[in-house]
Amino acid sequence: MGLNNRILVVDDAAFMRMMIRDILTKNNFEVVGEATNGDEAVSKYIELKPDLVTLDITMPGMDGVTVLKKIREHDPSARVVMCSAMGQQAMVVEAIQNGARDFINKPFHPQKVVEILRRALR
Amino acid sequence: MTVDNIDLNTYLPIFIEETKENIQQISSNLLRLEQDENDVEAINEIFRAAHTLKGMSATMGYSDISQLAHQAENLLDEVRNNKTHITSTMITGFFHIVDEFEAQLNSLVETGEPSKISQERYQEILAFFSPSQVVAPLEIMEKISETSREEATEGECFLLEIFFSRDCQLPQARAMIICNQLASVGKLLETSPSQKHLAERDQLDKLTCRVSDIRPEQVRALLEGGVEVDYYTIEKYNCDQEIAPQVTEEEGGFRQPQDSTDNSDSHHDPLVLRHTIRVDTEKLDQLLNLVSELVINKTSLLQAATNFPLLADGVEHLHRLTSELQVIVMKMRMIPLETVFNRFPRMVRDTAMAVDKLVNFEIRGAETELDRTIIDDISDPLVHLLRNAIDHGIEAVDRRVSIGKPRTGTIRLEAYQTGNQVVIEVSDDGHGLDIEQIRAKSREMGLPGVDADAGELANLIFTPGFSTVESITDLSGRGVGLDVVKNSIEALGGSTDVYSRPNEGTTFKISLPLTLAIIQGLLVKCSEEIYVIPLSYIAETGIIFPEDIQTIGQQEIVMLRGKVLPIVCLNKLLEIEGPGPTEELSLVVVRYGERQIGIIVDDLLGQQDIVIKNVNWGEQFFRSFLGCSILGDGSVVMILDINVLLSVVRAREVNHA
Repeated sequence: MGLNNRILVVDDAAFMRMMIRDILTKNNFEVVGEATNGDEAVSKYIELKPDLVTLDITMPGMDGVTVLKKIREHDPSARVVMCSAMGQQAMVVEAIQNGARDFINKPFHPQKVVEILRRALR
Repeated sequence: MTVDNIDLNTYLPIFIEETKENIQQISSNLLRLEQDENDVEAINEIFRAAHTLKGMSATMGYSDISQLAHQAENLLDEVRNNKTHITSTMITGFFHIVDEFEAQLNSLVETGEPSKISQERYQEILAFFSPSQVVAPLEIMEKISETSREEATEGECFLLEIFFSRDCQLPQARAMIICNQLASVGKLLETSPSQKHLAERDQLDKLTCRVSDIRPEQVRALLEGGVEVDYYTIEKYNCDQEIAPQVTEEEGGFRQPQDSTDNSDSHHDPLVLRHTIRVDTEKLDQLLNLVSELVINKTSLLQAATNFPLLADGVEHLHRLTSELQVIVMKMRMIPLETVFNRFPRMVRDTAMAVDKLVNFEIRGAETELDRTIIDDISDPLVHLLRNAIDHGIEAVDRRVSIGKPRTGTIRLEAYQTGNQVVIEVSDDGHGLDIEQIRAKSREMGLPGVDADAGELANLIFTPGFSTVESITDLSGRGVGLDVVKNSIEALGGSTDVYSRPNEGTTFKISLPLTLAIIQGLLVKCSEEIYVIPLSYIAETGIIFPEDIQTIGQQEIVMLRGKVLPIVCLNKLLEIEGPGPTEELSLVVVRYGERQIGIIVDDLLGQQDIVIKNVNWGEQFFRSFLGCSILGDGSVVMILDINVLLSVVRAREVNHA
């Protein structure tokens, strides 16, 4: 995968973070950090400069789309892939209009997650 | 994480199937290329298949396969760009690559993992190409699509139609992402539905875009390998021509591009259209089973309805519907023989090279369809016959020249449908069977027909053990294990025949039933039991009288329209008690290869659809039956296997001879 495979995982649920981390590390991505809420996500992004962020749409406090906007305000070339659940169509669309590279739907299919992240990292 | 493997496995069957198709594509186009080294279309086809193979195997993580495909793709690209020319060495090299793909795929099918390609093997393959053609292996597959192939020319536009798969989650969001990606690589001119409207859509199955300043490879790289996109089409056109001046917001707002101004466009990408779905064959089998049950029940309803006039109309309608359903299910199970025939050109080429003969191989009627259960088992016998034809049928080049034949021999594989049978013929223009040698051999082995005509003698080569004798194999040069061929064909309910003319060649003719599951059968009565004779074997039926029967030697015969027809009683064939002498006898004339034979039964009861249920008792007696069936009234009847029964007759002839 070369060098651009450093990922920041943002999700309020520990289970989801663990799952994503497992999928990613299995597939030669490097999870450089995890964040459990929006504020942490933005500060970790600035601190770690990851190649890509997986960003949960629904989180307590700042929601995913707002986090996305903040991150891209800081770095307009930031690659962000949204993690959504069923029925969040409007949020996904809004995120894409605001520069999200792609989205992955829960429940996760590992192969699909990998495929989408690889594509987003190109 | 095991989920990962499970997920990969769900892609595996499709991967295997499509990889097979792509390998086949490459293989058949290589053969075309061998005929004409300037066949641009063939080069493009191979390139496309290699590219798809590369993408798919990379997605599956099979780096060895994708690496090799990448090499093939690059080598072909050199050719496409006129940097190098196809040579026969290169073609052989490509064939080695195909072999390696096949080996990998086989290993994948057997073990679930492709085998590693050893460095030696890799080098061995690359040795067929000049070092300058070989590209360095790429560490990152993703970058391949970015290596510049051809510069996008100004004003080159593509019309892109993207169809989302049913599994695609939020296709409208997917469409927006694709638009973003296209816009980041090239220039996105227009979309339908428009980008503005995309966000508001609830459902979407198709996105149409006009893009420019982009290469088709880049589009492919964006769209392929994902499960969201079912398929897409890409068409090139000249965008100076205002093709879609007013794009409406309605569905499919673009008019079709008219490429009248763009006839010179040589690498016009053909549409990747698939109007098919893939269905698990198990489901087809289940469907067939259910329809079979329905047929049985329909038959019993039909019988019951004869007593209830009120039911007649409804039952008649049911009857028609069931018949139609049956036809459709049968059709769904049909596959073109192409799937089997496709492998042969390569095999014939290799075999011919191995024995140093020149062979021109022709295939006709590959579109002929057969039930898939039959298709699966037809390949081996055909391979056998083709090998025989090359090895023993076609003469060596100098021999052919010395007797004034063209240097190159011709082998023809032809399939066609007649009635409810499919015939496959393998013919060669070689030296034919040595009938005198066969006659001598049959005398030696004590087989009948020493006085038989050439046609009957020729068919003796199917006799078990006949061919294993060395002198025959060497002199007549035919028939290594032809009994095996005959047996496998008969196991499929088919028959084999051979015709031969000295110095003109030999034709093997295989006749197969269209399907094995539901057949038309004639119900006959014999000693109070009902039996079924498959209609496909029956030439005619009639009534004869005991005084018509004459005896020649040990054989009972009747004269039918001036021809001698050997007859046999069904009860004698089945070795069961027969009824006493009656005034008239029912006669069923069955075809037996090119011969006919009359079977005497007690009564003819009529014909109907018969659902074959397999019987696997394995006993000698039961081998006389194809299987059994259940009639409308619930009674079980046995279906006669005419081939087996008549080989019993033949065996008796031998003993009497």
